[in-house]
Amino acid sequence: MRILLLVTIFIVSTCGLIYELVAGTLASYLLGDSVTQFSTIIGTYLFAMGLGSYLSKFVRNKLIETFIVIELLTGIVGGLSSSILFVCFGYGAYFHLVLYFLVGLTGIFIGLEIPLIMRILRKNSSFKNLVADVFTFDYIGSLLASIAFPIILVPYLNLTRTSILFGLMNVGLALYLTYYFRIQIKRPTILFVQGLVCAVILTFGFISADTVQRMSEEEYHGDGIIYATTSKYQRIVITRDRNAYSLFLNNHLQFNSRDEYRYHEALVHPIMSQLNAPRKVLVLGGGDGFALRELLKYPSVKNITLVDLDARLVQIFKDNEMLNKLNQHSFSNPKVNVIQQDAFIFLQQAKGEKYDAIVIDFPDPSNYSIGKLYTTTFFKTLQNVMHENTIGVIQSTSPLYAKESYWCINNTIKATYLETVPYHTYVPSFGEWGYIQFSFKTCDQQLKQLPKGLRYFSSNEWKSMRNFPADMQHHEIVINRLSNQALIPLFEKEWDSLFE
Amino acid sequence: MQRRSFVKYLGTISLGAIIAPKLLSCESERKIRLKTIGAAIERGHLLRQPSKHFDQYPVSKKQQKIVVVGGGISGLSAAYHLKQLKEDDFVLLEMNQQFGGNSASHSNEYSKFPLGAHYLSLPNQDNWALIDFLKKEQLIVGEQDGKYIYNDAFICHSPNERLFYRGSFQEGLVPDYGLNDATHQEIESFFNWMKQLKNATNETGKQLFSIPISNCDYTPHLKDLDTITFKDFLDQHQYTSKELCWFLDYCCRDDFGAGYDMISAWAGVHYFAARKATPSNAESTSVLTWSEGNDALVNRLKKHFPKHCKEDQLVIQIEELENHVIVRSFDVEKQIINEYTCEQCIVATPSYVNKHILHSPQWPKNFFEGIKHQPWFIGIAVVSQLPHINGLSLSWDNVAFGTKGLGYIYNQHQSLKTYPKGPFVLSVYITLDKAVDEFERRRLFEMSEEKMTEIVIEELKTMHPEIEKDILEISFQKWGHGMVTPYPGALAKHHAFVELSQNAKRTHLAHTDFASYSVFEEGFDAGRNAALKVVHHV
Repeated sequence: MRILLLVTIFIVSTCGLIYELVAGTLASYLLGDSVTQFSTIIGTYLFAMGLGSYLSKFVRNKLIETFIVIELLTGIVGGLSSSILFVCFGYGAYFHLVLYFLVGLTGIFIGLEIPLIMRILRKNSSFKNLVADVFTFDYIGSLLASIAFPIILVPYLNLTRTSILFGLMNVGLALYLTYYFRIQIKRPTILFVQGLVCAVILTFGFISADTVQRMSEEEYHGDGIIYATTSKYQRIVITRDRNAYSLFLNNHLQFNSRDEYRYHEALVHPIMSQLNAPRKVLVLGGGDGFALRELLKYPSVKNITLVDLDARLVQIFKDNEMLNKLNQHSFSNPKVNVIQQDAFIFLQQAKGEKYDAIVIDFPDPSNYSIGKLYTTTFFKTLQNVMHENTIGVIQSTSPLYAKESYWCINNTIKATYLETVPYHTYVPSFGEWGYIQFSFKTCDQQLKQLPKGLRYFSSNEWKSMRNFPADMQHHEIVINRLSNQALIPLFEKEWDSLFE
Repeated sequence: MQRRSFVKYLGTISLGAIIAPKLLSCESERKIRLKTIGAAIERGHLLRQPSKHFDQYPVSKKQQKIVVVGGGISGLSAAYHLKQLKEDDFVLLEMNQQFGGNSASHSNEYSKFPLGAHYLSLPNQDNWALIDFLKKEQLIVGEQDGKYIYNDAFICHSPNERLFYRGSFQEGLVPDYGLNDATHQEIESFFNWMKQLKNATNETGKQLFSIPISNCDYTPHLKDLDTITFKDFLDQHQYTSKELCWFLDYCCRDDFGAGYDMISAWAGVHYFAARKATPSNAESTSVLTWSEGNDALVNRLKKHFPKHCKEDQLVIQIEELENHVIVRSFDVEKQIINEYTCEQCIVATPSYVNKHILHSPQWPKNFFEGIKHQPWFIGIAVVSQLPHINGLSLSWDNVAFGTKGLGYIYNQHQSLKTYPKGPFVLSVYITLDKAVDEFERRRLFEMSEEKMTEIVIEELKTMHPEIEKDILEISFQKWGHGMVTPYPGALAKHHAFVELSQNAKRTHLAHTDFASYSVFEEGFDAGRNAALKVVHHV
C-alpha cells in the first residue's frame, strides 16, 4: 500500500511537470519570447498548485474517490491540453486566456492531489516519514520529467503525443487505484467506466496523430509550421522562424513579416499618394490585411471594401493575436468592410458603385484558375467600378525572373484601353518585384501626399522604381485572354527555368 | 529542440478522432441517382405505327402562306430568315415542347447542359450570313484589320482540350507525349497537307472545301474521294501510325458518329480542310460555347418570332398538290388534328421522318433511303469532386486515348469563378458506332439505365480511377437517330439533293442531312436557302 501510493506520487509529479513543460514550450514556440512564456507559465502553475492545496481542505470524506476523479480529470485536461492549444491558435480565439486557464487548471488538480495522498497515507505512517517520502518522490519525478522531456519525449513523440501519453499514465493510474481500492469505494464500476472512456479518448488521439502531409510540408518550408489548414480554396500554412512569420498559400510564399512592409508600401502608396484625398477604396485579394494597414494611414479614406474569396484566411488574420498584431488589427477597423466573394463575380455584379483607388493583390498567375484574374475580360469588367479619375494597381510577379509574364500583364491591361505605369521594387524574400498602375487617364505621376511613418517608400524612391534596367525590359506582345490564357505557360516556363 | 516535433499533427486531428467513429457508422450503401430525359422517342415513333387519332377529322383548318415543319436549327433558321426578308405569314411546327432539335438543352440544380450540340466553330470569313447573325446577336463585337472580334465571354476559355495519354493529361487532342520522330513527322505532315487543301480550288478558282457546303464548288476529282473510306484513303497515302489514326478515328466518331473506316474519304478531308476562320481575338480553331450548348443560339433565333412557334405539333402528312400544300399535324397534348393549307412549305425534318410524311412528286421516297444516322447516348454525370490528375487541369473537352467513348465535356467551364468547385456536371458522350443497322438502334432503345451507367462509368474511370464513389447522379439522353453519317457516296447524295431542289415548286427541304454534316452552320445555311427560295416563289 505504501509503495503503491509512493509510485502514485511519482507519477503525479512527473505528469504535472510534463504538462507545465509542454505548455511553456508550446507557448514560446507559437508566441516567441521563451523567457516570458516560461516564467509566466511556471508562475501560474505554482500559484495554481498552491490554490489546489488550499482547496484540498474542503475535501472532507471520500478521499480515495475524490483522488481518483481528480486523477482522471488531470489526465484528460493535461493530456489534451496541447491539442486544444493548437486548435485555439488556429482559430485565433483567446489563445492566452485558454493557455493560462489550462495551466491553472492542471496546477490546481496537481495541487489538490499531493495533500490528498498525504491524508490517505496518514493512517499508515508517522508524519515525519510521510513528509520525507512524499517530497522525495515528488522531486525525483520532477527531475526525471525535466530530463526526459527534451532528450526523449519531444524528439521522438512531439508535443501533442507527449501530453497525451502522460494523460494516459494519469488515467491508467486512476484505473489501477479504482481496482485496488474497489472494496473501500462505494461505486467502483462508475469510476471504472469513466476511466475507460478517458483512456479510449486519449488512445484515439494518440493513434490518429500521425499525418504524413504535415511532415512533408515541414520539410518543404524549412521553418517550423505553427499553423496549417486547408480551406475550401487553398492550403494555408503559417510558419515561424525566430521572430519572423511567413504565410504560404498552396506552397507559394505570400509574405515574410521581416520585409512585407516593402512589398505593401510599394503596393499601396504610389497610387494613394497620387490621388486627391481618396475616400473609397476597393481591395481585391489581400486577405492578410497588410494592404488595409497601409491604406488606413490616409485620413481621407472613409471606406474600404475588401473582397477575398477565402473567408478562412481573412478570419485567421482577423482573430489570431500574433497575426492581427502584424496587420495592426486592420480587420477590426470600422472603415473596413469585408466581402467574401469571388473577385470576378463581385465585379460582374457591381451595381454602379465606383471606387477612387483599387488595390489588387491576387496570388501569382500560376494556374488556369487564378489566370482568369489576369485576362482582358477581367480588366474590362474591372472598369465597371472605376470612374474617370480612379487609379488602380495590381501586383504583377517579378519583372526580373519572369519578365515576359510581367510585360504580358502590362499588355493585357493596355489592350483594354487603360493607361499603365509599370514599376518595381526589391523585396528580399521575393527578390525584384513588379507592380502595374492603371487608370483611364494618363497620370502625371506626381506624389501629392505621403503619410508619416513609412519605412521604405518616398518620392525619391518613386523615381527609381519606375526605371527599368535593360535586364528587366522585354517587348512581349502577347495578350492574356480567357480563350488563350497565354500568361500561364509563360509564367510556368519562366519560373521553372529559374529552378532548373 | 526540434521543431519537427510540434507539427506532426494538429490537435484537431486527435479531437476529430473522438467523433470520427460516429461518422463512419453513418456510411451506408450509396446509390447513384439515375434518370432518363426526353419524351421525343415516343412522339416521333407515332409515325411508324400511325395512331387511330390520325384519321380524325381536323379540328381546325387554317390558311397560311408558309408552313415550316420541324423546329431544329434548319427550321428555326428558315423562320428567322423569313422574318429577316419581311415575310410574316408563316408558322413553325415542332413535335416537342422544346425547340432546337439536337441543340435543345436541359438543366439540373448545378448547371445547364446541352442534350446534343455543344458549340459553334468560328465561321469562315465568307459565311457572311452567319457572321451577320452573330453580329446582330453581339457574339461578334467588332472588327480589326478585317478580322472579327468575338465576344470573349463565349469563346471557349482556356484550357479547352486535354487528352489523357500515357498516364497524364496533355494539352490538345493530338497525341504528343513521348512519340518517336517518325510519328511526329507523320502527324506534322498530315496537318500540313490539310492546311494546303484548305486553299484547294477547281479549274474556275472556286474553293473545294468549305462550310457551309453550298460555298464549295464541285470538281470530278472529289468524286473519287467519295467512293472510298477515309481509312483506305489514308492507307493509300501511308498515314498509318497508331496515334494519328486514333486521332482521326476519334474526330470521325465525334463529328459523324462512325469511325474513319466507315465514312467517306471526302467527309474526312472536308472535316480538316473546310474550316478557315481568321478571328482577331481567338485561334482559328476556337469555338463559341455556353453551358447550355447551342440552345443559346436556339433562343437567339427563336426570340425573333415567338408567336409563330407552335410546339407539340407532330406533322403526320405533307401533301404537295398542284396549287397548294396540305400539312396535317397531330397535337400530341390535345390529341387532335390541325390542318394547314399553304402556298409554300419548308420541310426541315430529317430524312427518316420525311420518308413517312412527305408526299410530293418532286421528292421520290427512295431518295431518303441511303441517308443514315447513328445511335448515340449522353450520360450527364454529377460528381461531387474531381481530384487533380497529372498534367493539364480540368478543361472544356476531356478525352482519353483509346477508349470506346468520346470523353466528356465539363459544362460549367465558361463560369468566371476563380476556382472550379463541385459538384461538377460532366456530359459523357457515347456513340454506338459500327452500329449501322436497326438492330443496334433497337439495342440502344432497350438499353437499361444500369447498362448505360456501366458504360459511362467505364469511360470516366479511364481518366479518373477513383470517380465512381463521387458520382451523385447520372441523367441519360438517348438519340436513336443522332448525327448524319457521311458514308461513301455522301457527296453524290448532296449533289442529287441540289439538283432536285432546283426544281422544287412548293416543298423545299432544309436539313443538315443533305450536307451529310450535322453542324449548326449547315442547318443555318439550309434554312436560309429554303427561306430565300420560298420568298422568291411567293
